[in-house]
Parts: sequence; structure tokens; C-alpha cells
Amino acid sequence: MTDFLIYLATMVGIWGILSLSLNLQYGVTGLVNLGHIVFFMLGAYISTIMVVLAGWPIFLGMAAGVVAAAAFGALMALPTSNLQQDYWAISTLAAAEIVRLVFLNTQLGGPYSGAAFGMSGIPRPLRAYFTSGSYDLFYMVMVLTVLAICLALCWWVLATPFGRTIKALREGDHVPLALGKRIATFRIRSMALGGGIGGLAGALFAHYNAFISPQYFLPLETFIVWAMVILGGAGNFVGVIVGTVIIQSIYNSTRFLKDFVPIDQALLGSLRMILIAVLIILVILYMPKGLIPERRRRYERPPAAQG
Amino acid sequence: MKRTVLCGALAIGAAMLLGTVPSTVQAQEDVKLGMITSLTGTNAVQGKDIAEGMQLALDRINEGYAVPLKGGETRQIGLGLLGRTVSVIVEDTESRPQAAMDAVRKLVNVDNVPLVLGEYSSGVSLPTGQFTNENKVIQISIGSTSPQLREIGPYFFNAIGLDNIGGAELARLAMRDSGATRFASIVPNNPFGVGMELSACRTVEEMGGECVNKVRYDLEKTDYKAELNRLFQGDPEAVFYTAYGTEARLIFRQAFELGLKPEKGWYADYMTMWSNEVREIPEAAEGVKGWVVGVSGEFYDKEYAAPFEEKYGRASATAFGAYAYDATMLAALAIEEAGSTDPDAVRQALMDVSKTYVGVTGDKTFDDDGMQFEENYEYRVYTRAKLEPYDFAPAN
Repeated sequence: MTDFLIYLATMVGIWGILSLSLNLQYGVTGLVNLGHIVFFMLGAYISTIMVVLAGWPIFLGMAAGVVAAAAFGALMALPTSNLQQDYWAISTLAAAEIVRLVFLNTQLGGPYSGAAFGMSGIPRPLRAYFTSGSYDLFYMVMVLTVLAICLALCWWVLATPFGRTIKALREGDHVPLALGKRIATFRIRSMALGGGIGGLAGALFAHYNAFISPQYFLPLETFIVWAMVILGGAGNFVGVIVGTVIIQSIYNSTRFLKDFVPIDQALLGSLRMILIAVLIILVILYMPKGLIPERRRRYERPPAAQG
Repeated sequence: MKRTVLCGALAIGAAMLLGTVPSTVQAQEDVKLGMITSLTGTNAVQGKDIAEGMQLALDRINEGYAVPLKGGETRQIGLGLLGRTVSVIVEDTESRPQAAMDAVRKLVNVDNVPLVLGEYSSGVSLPTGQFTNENKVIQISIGSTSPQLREIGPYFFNAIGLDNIGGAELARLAMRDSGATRFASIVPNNPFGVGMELSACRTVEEMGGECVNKVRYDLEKTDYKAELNRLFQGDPEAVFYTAYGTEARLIFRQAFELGLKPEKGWYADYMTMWSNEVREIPEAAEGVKGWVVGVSGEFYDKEYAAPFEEKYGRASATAFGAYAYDATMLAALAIEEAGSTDPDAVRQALMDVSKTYVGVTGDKTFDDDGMQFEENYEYRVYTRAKLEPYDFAPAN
């Protein structure tokens, strides 16, 4: 049981990092990214390719995954940074699918590696120093530490002038434009930053799971990240981590339901999705800003003393 | 009000999470095995059939059964195993590798099963197999055929022949039957399909022919005309064909409408995957030759098909339930032979019992890597909306 909880905590950490990155793009900058899984995929694939095929050290490979995902974020935003929100959303969905199709059709290594087969036997960092049981614990600690660092980074970014500008961007282009800001640049930088963090989550996932294939990165996965962000509270970084915990818990705890209630196994899978959907509807109806809403800072002056 | 609703929802979630704790106490007496299978998602039909095939074997094990062995002998098994009832905890993989990892982790870490049956898809069996192998838990894959599975490790077994056997068989049949040397191939773009293509085309090359076109298509599309046009470029004499029911119906129909027919015919693997679906427009698939896995014949009917129909009130939906039956029986025989559920003992016993066990899907002997030595293929030709036995006469 402990091993399973460690696994769950690791997955929560990895998905938490991914939802932080979406929150940076959507919750903070207001960019509706429907292809967010692309960063996760690039982080996972590029890191794997560099480590397995090019023979790089694992942590350097992970860094390459982060850089590639960040670069793709910028690249994705370059031609589309002036699009309105709905057009932007469609272009992100398309970009993610294009990348997935490239990996689906590219042989990497031997005839049974890459393409539809995926890549297996991905090495795990510092594996030789731990026993099988303690390694999972080590990885969980590492992932949760990275999550904490990413959270701190996001908070720090919000406190900078850059952070305040992308927040203003979310509310509409007028204010940043009136202040003489080049909105396209800010969008590109936000995409790159969010992309890099998403790529880090992907790299951590690949070297934990030891296997990746294009099947892991279907558009459905993007919507699971969205569910985490909406449920937790877009704009609030702690909120999205809470959202991640809840969605992951629902996913895994429903597996245990059948041990207590005589329920058809096939129903459970669908039931799980219904439960998540109902939760989201409830949250949208009753708490439209999510479980832990973003705290609005008021910048107005205190009213001048009368008299 | 808002808070109440939300707290209620959260409480349900929390209760379900907490509900995980007592599950390890349940059914302490049973010999618990695990199964991962796709009960929902794209592979749900095969996945359910696999669960049902396993259940048939499990009932027999618990009620006591004389398992047929080679040389007309039998081996009595049951009631149960090691004097205890056997239960199989079935976990849904949702046809998604990530959900499958959650499922297999639950089986291994929470339920502590010594052996896992499944899965159907190679994309799921690979990562779950890596995990079970690392944790010294035995896994017997049911329907996965990607040649990568051979590399997983000593605790991983497979109840079905890999693509390298099936693709080679198809290529040999096609070359000898038609005398063609220029082939094209059309397969779904997944590990199963691509594995078939690689193996069939490699065999063709070894036998002096060539694959002039290799088309890999995405599933669930509504139009395959572009793929078909590409397939027939360069005038291949014959075509290797791999498809699931829904796509097979559309691809055959569109090829028929476009008037695209290879001069020396289509050669298909796993023909039962589409023979029912194509019945609506049988003329589109008339004369297609190929093989079905050896799940037919008197022994199969008596041992599996008839009891299955009696139990569930309908025929088995796919060929894969029978493989699940064999995998379950092999696991039971091995545990009985080993006298424990110790993975190393069961692993050795699996090797031994597979040599004498007569599977409903044919000979099940494992090679040193835990893969099938051979697979039983029967040649068929699709004619007048039916799959008929095909006795081919070599063209040269």
C-alpha cells in the first residue's frame, strides 16, 4: 500500500508541475492552450532521445527536454501571438497533434523503436544507488522538490514586472497596449516559460515510467490537465495543485470502489469520468473561480481622509 | 449552500481515497491473481472477451477440472489451487497506457498479486511488463504481438505468437500462393500493425521479393481513399492487409468503389477481426486470402467454444478470450506444479507445464524468452460472405 501511495504522490507531483505550467499560460496570461500536452511530450521525447540515442547523461538530457519544450512554446506563439483567443486555441490543438504525428511516424533507433512502438527501457537517474523499493521513494522526493521549486518560481514570476504585465494581458490587450507594452513578446515569453516547465514534467515522467509512446500524449490528456486547473482555481498556483490531487485521487481511488460495492468493472471507468465532470459542473456553478480562487490584489489608494 | 455542496463532493472523494486502506484484508484466504484488461475505451470488445475467457478457466479451476495434456493424458486440477480458492482481481486499463500503469501498480503494490494476466495491446503490455518484471511479478500477456516484448525480461511471458511469426507466415503464404514478388502493405499505425508490416516485408525480401509501398493508416478515420491511392502506386502485384473490423469495412468498400484490386490478390492476417463487419458488402472482400489464428476445430469447440456459449449465452466475440483461457490455465498449472506462488518457482514451472499443456489455441510451449515457439495459423479464403478453409496450391 505504501508503495502505491508513493507512486500516487509521484504522479501528483509530475501532473502538478504540468498544471502549474498550464496555469501560467491560461490562469495568469489568459492563453487558452488546448495542446498543452505537447510540452509534456517534447520534454519526454527529447530527453529520451538525448539519453538513449545520443548517450547524454540523464540530467543533461532532461535539461535538453526543457529547452526544447520552451523553444517550441516560443515557436508556437511566434506566428500566432496576435490571434484572438478562439483562433489561438485551435492553433495550439493543431500544433500538439502535428508533433504527436511526427513522433508516431518517426523510427528512433532500431526497427522496433520509436514510431508507434514508443521507446522502452528509458534509464532512470541514480538508479544504481537505490534498492527497488527505496528508489520510488527517492523519485517521489525529487519530483515533489521540483514541484516546490516550480511553485516558488511561479510565485516569483508573478511578483516581477513581467508577471504583472502578463496578468494585465489576461484581462484584455488594452491596458498593456496603453502602457506601451508589446503584447506579442509577452505572450511568447509566457508560452516559453510555461512550455519549459511542462517539458520538465514530461522529462521527469519519461525517466520514471521508463517507457513512452505517442499513445500517452493524446489530446484527452490535455483536457485532464484543464480539469485540474479549472477545478483547483485558475490563476491560483496552490489551487491548481489541489485540483491535481483531487483529479488524481478520483482516478485512482475509484479502482477500490469495487472491493466494497458490487459494481460492474466496465461501469467504473465511465463512472470515473462522470464523477470528474459532475465535480467540474458543481465547481463552475457554485464556485466559478475554482476551489481556491485567485486572490485579487487591489491597487486602489485608501480613501483620502475627509475633512 | 455553496460550501455544503462542495464539502459534500470533497467528502465523497476523501472517503473513496480512505476506502483504499482495508482492501488488503479482504479475501485473505484466496490465492489472488491479477488481470489488467481494457473494459472501456477502444479495445473494450477484445478486453471484455479476455475477461470472460479468463473467467471460464477460473470457474473450472475452482470447481475442479481435468486439464487435457499432450498424448491424450489429463491432469486433475482443483478444487482451487494449493487447497485454496482462486480469485482474479480484474482491473480496467481504459485502453490507455497511463490508466494501465495505475491498474498494475494497484495489483502489485496493494493487492500483492504474484501473477498478472494481460494485456491485449502491446502499448500497454510493454510498460506494465517492465514494471512487473522489475518487481519480480510474473505477467502473461494475452493478445500483444509486438516483437519488443521479447526484450522485457525473465518474468514476462506471452500466450500469443509475436508479429514476427504471423507476418512471416502471411508473406510465405502470399508468395507461394500467388507467385507475386512485388507487394504493398497496409496496416494500422500501431505497434501491432507496424510489427506485421516489418515482419511480412522482411520475409518477402528474404525470399527475393520486395515491398514497393508501405502504408500505415490512423484508426477511426472516415475516409481512406488517399491511403488506398498511395497503396496502389507502383503497381504492386499483391497486397498485405491488416485491419480491425470498422476500418476493414471502410477500406474494402472504398477500394471496391475506386476499382482498386491487386492483380494477384489481397492477403490478410487475423481475418476474423473483420469477417463479420464486411458481411454487409461481401463482394468488396470476395477472394481475400490469408490466415486466422488456430482457434477452430473440434477440440476448440468442445473445450472452449461450446462451454463459453453455455456460460454466457452467446458465442465468444473475438479470438482473444481463448488466449486468456489458455494463459489462466497455464498460470494455474504452474502454481500447482510449483506448489507455491513464489515467482521464481512459478516461472520455472510455467516453462515446464507449457511443454505438455494442450491449449485451446494450440501448442503453448514457451521459448527461453517466455514467448511462443509457434502459433497455429489456418488458411482461409473469404468467399460468399464467409471464411472458408483454403488449401493453397503453390503457384510455382
